[in-house]
Amino acid sequence: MFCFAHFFNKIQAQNNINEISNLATDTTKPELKQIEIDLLGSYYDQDGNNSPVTGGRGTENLQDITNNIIISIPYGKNVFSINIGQDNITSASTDNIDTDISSDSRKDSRTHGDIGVTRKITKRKSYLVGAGFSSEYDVTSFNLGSSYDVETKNRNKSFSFKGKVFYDSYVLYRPVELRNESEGDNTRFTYNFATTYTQVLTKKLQLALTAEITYQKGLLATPFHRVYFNDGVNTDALDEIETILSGKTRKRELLPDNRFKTPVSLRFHYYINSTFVFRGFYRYYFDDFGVIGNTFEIELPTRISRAIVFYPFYRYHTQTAADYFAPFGEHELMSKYYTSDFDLSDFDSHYYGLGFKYAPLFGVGRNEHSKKAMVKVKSINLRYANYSRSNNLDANLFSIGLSFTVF
Amino acid sequence: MKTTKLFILLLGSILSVTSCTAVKEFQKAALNDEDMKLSDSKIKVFDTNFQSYREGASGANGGKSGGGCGCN
Repeated sequence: MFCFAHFFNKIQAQNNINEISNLATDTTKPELKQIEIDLLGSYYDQDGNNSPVTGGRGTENLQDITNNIIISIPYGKNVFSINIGQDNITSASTDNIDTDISSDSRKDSRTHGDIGVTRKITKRKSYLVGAGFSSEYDVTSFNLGSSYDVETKNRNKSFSFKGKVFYDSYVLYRPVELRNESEGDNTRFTYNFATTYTQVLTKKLQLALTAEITYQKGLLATPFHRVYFNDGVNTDALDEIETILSGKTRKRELLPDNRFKTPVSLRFHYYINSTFVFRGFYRYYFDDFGVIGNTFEIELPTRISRAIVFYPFYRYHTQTAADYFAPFGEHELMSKYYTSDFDLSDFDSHYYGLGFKYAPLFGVGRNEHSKKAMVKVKSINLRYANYSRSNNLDANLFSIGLSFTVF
Repeated sequence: MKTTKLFILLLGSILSVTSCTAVKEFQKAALNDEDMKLSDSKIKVFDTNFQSYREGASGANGGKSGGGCGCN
């Protein structure tokens, strides 16, 4: 009995030490003390047979290699952040903007950068201001954003308000046979406002509710997407290039010049025990194009040891088609707006995979450059995912992330 | 529409039941676990970025929701 009581007291004492230790390193709203650097890279490979470039019929084969660096630098009450990245895309689909095989349109590269500063006003209030740009072959974009975060006194609730404005300017690359048409508007404004409410429910359970409104004005259609109409011309036996060269009636994709998007989401995180955490997510989405979406996601971080965590995850998404969508050759000639982009079609998708994180307490490696500066590899992340849609699009994605601290 | 009503009802129930609960700082050991953060990790945000291109529905998850890309 004495031994049992002693054992129980020992566990209780250990729990108290753990709680005090966690309090000391409270991560609810961490104050960054060290420079953090994240290097991220991914390889994305997709295939399908509903390319909008060729009117909703034809190869969607695409590869994308992406690199990103995120740096966070603390300075007094401020944390400065820099995010720079590049996407290198090879697409058999966009190669069909013209009829030359492996022409310039087969490849694209997108460079983007964002800077921001987060300033702590008080212990429980902070704001962020930031700006960014992106540039690719046919789109140049600038953005400005701001956010304000506040926690209640007991830190069991928080509110966040975010706003962002994008200005996009397009060079109107059109399908080769439609380049004699008038160009039209080539700019797009996007206004985004989001608010998030978080609530601690119990010692092991918390949730976040996010409501977002996005309003877009300007060019919402993609200039090099073709739409073939129901004109009685049969092209079933022709491939993509032969169809482009045929006499079948086609136009550039045309969509309304404004769109309201309204997603609402709920996050639900439950600490099961020191091995398992349950992370749940649900989103309801609707917009004035007629798309209604429901997204469910679960992730189960599984801690194998103090340093190793596995992240199995599964996501299910279902959506209705936009009012302006019809597959290849099914649009009526009198339609006001039209698209054969299957991203706006009616489909279900499944996204599943496994993540891995190795993050030992004292880092993977430490290199002392001087008596003052030290670099530490904080964690290594690997992730594999498969994405499949009910309209036969299939994709695989590999990602790697390295996180460093400099102090 | 049925889903929306169910969602609002569920959320209202959760908030009304739990709004009185106060968890003290020293009781937040589990909540302070890194995997309990109410946002996605950097690698996950990075990894799921393609979904805003491949799906008509996007946003409310800390990722893109239009602008600065050819996404829907």
